[in-house]
Amino acid sequence: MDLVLSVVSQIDAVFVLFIFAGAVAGLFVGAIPGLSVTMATALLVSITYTWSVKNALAVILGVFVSGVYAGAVSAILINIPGAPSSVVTTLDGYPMARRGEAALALWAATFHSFVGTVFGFLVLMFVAKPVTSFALTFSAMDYFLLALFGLTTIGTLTAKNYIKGGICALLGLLLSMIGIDPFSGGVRLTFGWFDLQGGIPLIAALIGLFGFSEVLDQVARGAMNAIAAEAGKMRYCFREMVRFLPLSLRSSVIGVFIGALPGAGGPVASIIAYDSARKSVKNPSRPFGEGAVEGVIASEAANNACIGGALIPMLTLAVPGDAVTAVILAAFYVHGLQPGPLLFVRTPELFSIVLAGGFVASVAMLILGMTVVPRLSKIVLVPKRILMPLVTVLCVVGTYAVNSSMFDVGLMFCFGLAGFLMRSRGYPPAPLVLGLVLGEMMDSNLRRAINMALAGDNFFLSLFGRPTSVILAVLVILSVFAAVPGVKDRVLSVFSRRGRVE
Amino acid sequence: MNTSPWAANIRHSLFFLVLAALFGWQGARSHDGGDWALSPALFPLLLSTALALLALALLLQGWRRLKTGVPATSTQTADISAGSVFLVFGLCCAYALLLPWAGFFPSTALFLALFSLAIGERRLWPIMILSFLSPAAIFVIFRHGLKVLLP
Repeated sequence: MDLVLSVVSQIDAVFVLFIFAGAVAGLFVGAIPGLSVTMATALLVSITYTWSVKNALAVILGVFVSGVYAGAVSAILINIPGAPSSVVTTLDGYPMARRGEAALALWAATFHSFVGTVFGFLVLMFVAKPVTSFALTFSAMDYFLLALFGLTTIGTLTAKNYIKGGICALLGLLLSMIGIDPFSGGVRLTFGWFDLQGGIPLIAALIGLFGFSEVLDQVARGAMNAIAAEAGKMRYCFREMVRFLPLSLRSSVIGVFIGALPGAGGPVASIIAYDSARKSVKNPSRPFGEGAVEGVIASEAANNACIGGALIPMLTLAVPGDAVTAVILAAFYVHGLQPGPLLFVRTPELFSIVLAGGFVASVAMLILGMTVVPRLSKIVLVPKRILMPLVTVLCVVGTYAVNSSMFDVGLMFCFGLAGFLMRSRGYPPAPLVLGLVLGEMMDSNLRRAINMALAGDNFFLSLFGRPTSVILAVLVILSVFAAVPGVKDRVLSVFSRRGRVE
Repeated sequence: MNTSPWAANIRHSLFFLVLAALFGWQGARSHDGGDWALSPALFPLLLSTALALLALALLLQGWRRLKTGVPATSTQTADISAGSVFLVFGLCCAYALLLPWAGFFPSTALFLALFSLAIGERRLWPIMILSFLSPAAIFVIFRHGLKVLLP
């Protein structure tokens, strides 16, 4: 009760104003591919270091919460995810926009992002310490298996032919290996090309594979009318909000937990929540991947719940859960604060400020999502003869913004052409992007796990001897074999035969 | 050339086998001579092997289905115009080359006008508004509002 009162006491008019200013900035930064929330918060640290901690945190949290949500806006409207955690939202969000349901998809994303964010901050408020201690039991092998599970899931989910999905995921992982190895400092897989030593820029790949390839796809089809004949209306009544609340909360639980694992973050959370929704929702509004609102809800609730989750290890142990919380951690140090176990003893009011900021920012996000975002949905009514050239220029500007490099722009065009060829031949780009995101994490954790196992008594037991590792390994195997046509039917028939005999 | 999607899958699998071999060769070259468990070559070699195995699976799948005559469901490439794609891609490459030389505003205005003409826009007013107002708006928002460097 004391904590609730302390949180409420932090909220005043100036605090709310700063959060709204941050939320407006976050909405635009998050919706424009190439401008990341991490970049915006890093800029804010330098701008706000002379401000009071409370006001600085208010703006940063406004940008963080609203920016994570806004990745869905461009994902739904023009099939370009604003951030890697919104890649899964494109699977059903963009088909909804094409069917004339852009407004509905945006509203579902807004409301359930709000639910996810609030849930994440409630978990942070009440169960931060137990969640942190459980997350800390994850070993290097567990992280590797978790990422592998995410990849096998997205590989089998997005392709009609599971082999093609797997090939795309592997290509993404191989591309992520290009550049300098963080362990040895040696150069690998650059084929002697100096410009590739810095690795494949993720934003260039993301924008190319989703944005520019979409432009080429539309040009190839010659359909130059608007994306949809109508943007639709926000017919999302109270009954539907309540109806989807259990799904939203289930996805939020996944999001908070994955968010609390340092390094895993939104992309993995949204895939796992999407897969869980696909398996648990018996009668979706449409088949998943063809415009099911349940797909948008699962992905968005999970990636926004990651915010609260990522803040848990940052506040309790000073271990950031993702890139943005790493920047926020830096902001804490800039202001002379020390996150970690002593935070609750020395500066308890700081914990209340973060919680108050999170709750007010989620309300700001909801208000902006209900007022500003519906205006943006009209973009689907603009004829493609006008929209496609403009999207191409935004792809160039967004790619260039990250490293100020024309080489990145060239790579983005190459990824766009590759994405177009892949799509037209049944190879989904989403597993490739996720492979690029997760590659480094998988590589470093696998090598760490093998090293530790080699030092142990029993190699196999050291790798898979823990319950979490066994559960994750079983999940990986199940997700691979469930996708192979015939395997699932044969297993079911074996069980039904046994049942008849008994 | 056999136009069946299964035959296309066989061609794709050969391409992926070559790709796996190339990445495997490059991966093996990055081995630093130390312990394999810590080697930078370990994960790329594992991935290349997995890619080669999946490419073989694709080859086998395509060959078996081609042999048994299983009908393909996907005909996505049927109504695609390759010419317009190459025209637009060429235009984009020219834009990327022109940007550092001519600057953001003139090259973007020219690119937007040519792109919209290439994909069928014939009305003068939309082309003019698109090619003059949008680069200006992007410049103001990105350069001055968001303090982002433009090409």
